[in-house]
Amino acid sequence: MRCLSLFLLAAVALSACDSAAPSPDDPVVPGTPVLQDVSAYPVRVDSLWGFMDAEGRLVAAPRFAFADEMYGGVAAVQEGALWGYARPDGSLAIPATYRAAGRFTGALAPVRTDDGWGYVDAAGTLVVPATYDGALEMAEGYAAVRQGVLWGYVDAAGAVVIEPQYAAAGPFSNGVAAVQTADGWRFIRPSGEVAFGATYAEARAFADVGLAPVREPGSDAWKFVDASGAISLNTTYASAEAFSEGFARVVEDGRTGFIGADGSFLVVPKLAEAGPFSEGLAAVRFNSRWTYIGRADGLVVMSPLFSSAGPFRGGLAQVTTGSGDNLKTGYIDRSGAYVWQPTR
Amino acid sequence: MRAFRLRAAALALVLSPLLVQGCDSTVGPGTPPDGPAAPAPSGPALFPVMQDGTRALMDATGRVVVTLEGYSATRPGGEGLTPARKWDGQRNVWDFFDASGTPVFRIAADEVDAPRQGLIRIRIDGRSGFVDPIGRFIVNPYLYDARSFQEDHARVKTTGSRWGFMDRSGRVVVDPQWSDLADLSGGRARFRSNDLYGYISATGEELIPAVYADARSFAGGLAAVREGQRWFYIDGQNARTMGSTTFISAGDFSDGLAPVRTENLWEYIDAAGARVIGPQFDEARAFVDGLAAVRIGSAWTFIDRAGTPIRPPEFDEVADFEGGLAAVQVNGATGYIDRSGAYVWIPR
Repeated sequence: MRCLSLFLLAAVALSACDSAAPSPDDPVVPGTPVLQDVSAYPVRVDSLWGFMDAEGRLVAAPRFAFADEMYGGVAAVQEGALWGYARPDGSLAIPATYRAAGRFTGALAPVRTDDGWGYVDAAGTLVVPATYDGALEMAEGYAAVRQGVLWGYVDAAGAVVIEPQYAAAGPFSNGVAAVQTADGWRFIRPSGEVAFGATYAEARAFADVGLAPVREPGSDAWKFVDASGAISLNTTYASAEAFSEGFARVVEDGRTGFIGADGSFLVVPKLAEAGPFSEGLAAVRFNSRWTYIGRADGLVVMSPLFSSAGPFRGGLAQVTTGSGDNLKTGYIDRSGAYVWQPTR
Repeated sequence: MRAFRLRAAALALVLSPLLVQGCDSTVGPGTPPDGPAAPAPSGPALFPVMQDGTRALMDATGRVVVTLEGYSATRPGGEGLTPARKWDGQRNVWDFFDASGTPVFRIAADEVDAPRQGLIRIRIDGRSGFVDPIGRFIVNPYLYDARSFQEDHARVKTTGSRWGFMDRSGRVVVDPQWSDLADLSGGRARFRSNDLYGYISATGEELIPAVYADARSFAGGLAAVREGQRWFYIDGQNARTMGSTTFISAGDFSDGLAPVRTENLWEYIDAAGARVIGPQFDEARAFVDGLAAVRIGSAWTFIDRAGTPIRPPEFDEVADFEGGLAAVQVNGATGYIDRSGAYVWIPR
C-alpha cells in the first residue's frame, strides 16, 4: 500500500509537469524516477558524429567516426581507429589514444591500451594501469576488473578493494553486488563479505526498491529476494531483470511484462521486448516496432514507430528509424515529438 | 500524457484556420433557416464527401465544413468524430475532426475506427489497441486483432487465432477460445464451435448451446437461426417462436419487423410471424430508425414501415442511415440522402 501511494505520488508529479517531471533536486525515494543531467547528445550527420544540445541545436560539428552518449560531461569518441573523450563542444578532453573507451559513470572510465584494460580519470591520467584483461564501468564508486578468468573490484582511487576471485561480477547497486563464487552466486558488500541471502544458481542486481532477482539451485523459476535474504516475491518467471524506477521486467511464456515491488503487474506479459524504466518511461516492443510506456499506468504514450528505442536521459531518448543502410538516428522528447529528426 | 494533449490542442490551433471553410454567417442555400440541426451524440457529426476531386467533410445539412487537402482517406464518423488519413512524410497519421471541422488529435496508425462507446480501435505495427477520444492509449496495442466496443465489451484476439471479450478497463474477461465470435447484442454473443453456432453471455457463460447450422445475432429480442436448409427465430431462452413457420432466408428484427424470404422475393414480418409488407423485394435489409434498404430489380431505395419507398429505386448501393443520412452510390459516385429521400449531397 505504501509502495502504491509512492507510485501514485510519482505519477502525479510526472503528469503535473510534462517535460521531464523528476528534478535532480528532489529527495530520491527508492524507485522514483530521477532526471539525469545530460549536457549534450551524439548525432550523426552524413555518417559523422557530432553533438546537439537538449533543444536539438548542433553544438559540435560532426567529425567523429562514432560518438557515445555523454557521461560525466564527456563522451567517448572514435577518431580513426582510436578512442578518446570529447566535451559537448566537440573539443577533446582526453586525446584519442586508446583502443577502446567506456563511460565515465563514476570518477574513472575504463580504457584499453595495447597492453590491456585500465582506468583514466577526468584529467586523462591512467589511474589504474592497463594490466587487466577486462574492465567494466563504475557503479557506486566501484568497478569490476578481470585478471585471467577471475573478477575482482577496484575503487574510485584505483585501489584494488577485492582481489580477483569470482567467475563473474555484477555492478554495485544499493551497496551490494552479485558475484559468482565457486559455490554459486552470492551478494557481497564492497568489503567482500557476504551481504545477505544464500547461494543461488543465478542472481542479478539488488537495485532500486531493495529486491534482487534470483534463481535458486535446481530451479528454473526466477524469484525476488530482499535485504534480509528472504524470498520476497515467490514468483515462477522464466526470466527476471533488476528493478528500475519501481518496476522489474519479467518473462512468462516467452513474453515480457513489468511487475511492481508488490509483485502485481503494471504491464501484463504481452511484450515481445522491453527496456528498463528511465525517467518515468520504458521502451517496449509489441511486434516489430518500438514505442514507450508510462510508469503511472503502463500505457503506451505514443504510437509504435521506431526500429530501436533507447532509455530517456535528460528528457530525451535516442531512437532509430529505417534499417540497414537507411538506419537513421534521431531524438524524441517525452511526448514523442522529434527534437532531432532522424539522420544518418 | 498532458504533453500529448497540449500538442494536439496546438495542432488544432495551427490547422483550424487553414481547414475550416464555412463560418456561421454564411448560410448556404440548402441550409434550414434555424441553422444546422445538432448532431446526434452517438452518430457521426460530419460525413466524408468528394468535392472537385478533393476530400471534404460536410455536416448533416450538406454544407462543407472542412476541405481535406492532402488527405488520402476518410472513415465513417461516429460519436462526433470523423477520422481522415494523411502521410506526414514518414508515416500514415489520422486526424480526428470534431463537429466544427477542427482536428481534435492526431495519431500515427495504419487503421482506425470512429469512436464507439467512447473508445477508438486503432491498428498499428500489426497489432490493435484502443485510445480515448483525445488520443491517449487506454489499451496498449498488443492485441492480435480487435473490434470496436459494443455493450461495454470488445472482441479481441490476445494470441493468434481465437476470440474472447475485453472489458472497458482492458481486462480480458472471457478468455479467447472461439474461432468465430460476434459482438454482444442484447447481452448475447453468437459463437461457433465444431461448425455449429450457439450463444454466450458477456461473462462467457454458454446461454444457448452450439446446435445451429447457422445463426444471426440477437436483434429485438429474437435471433434468426438455421437448422438444415430452413431458418426460424428463437427467443433468449432458446424457445422457438412463430410455431413451425420457417424461411429460406431471415434477417434481423428491428422496430418489430424483420425481412424474410419464403419464395423468390423478400417480405417483412412482425414478431408473431404475420406478413406486414408483402413479398416484392429482390433484397431487403433490417429497419434502422424506421427506414429499411431494399433492392427492386437492380436498384436500391429505402422504404418506411408501411412499405412505401421514400424515393424511386435508383441507387447501385446504399448504406444504412446514420446520423440522419444514408450514403448512396450512383455510377461509382457517393452522395447522401436524408430521411425524406431528398439529396443532401448529390453523388459527384
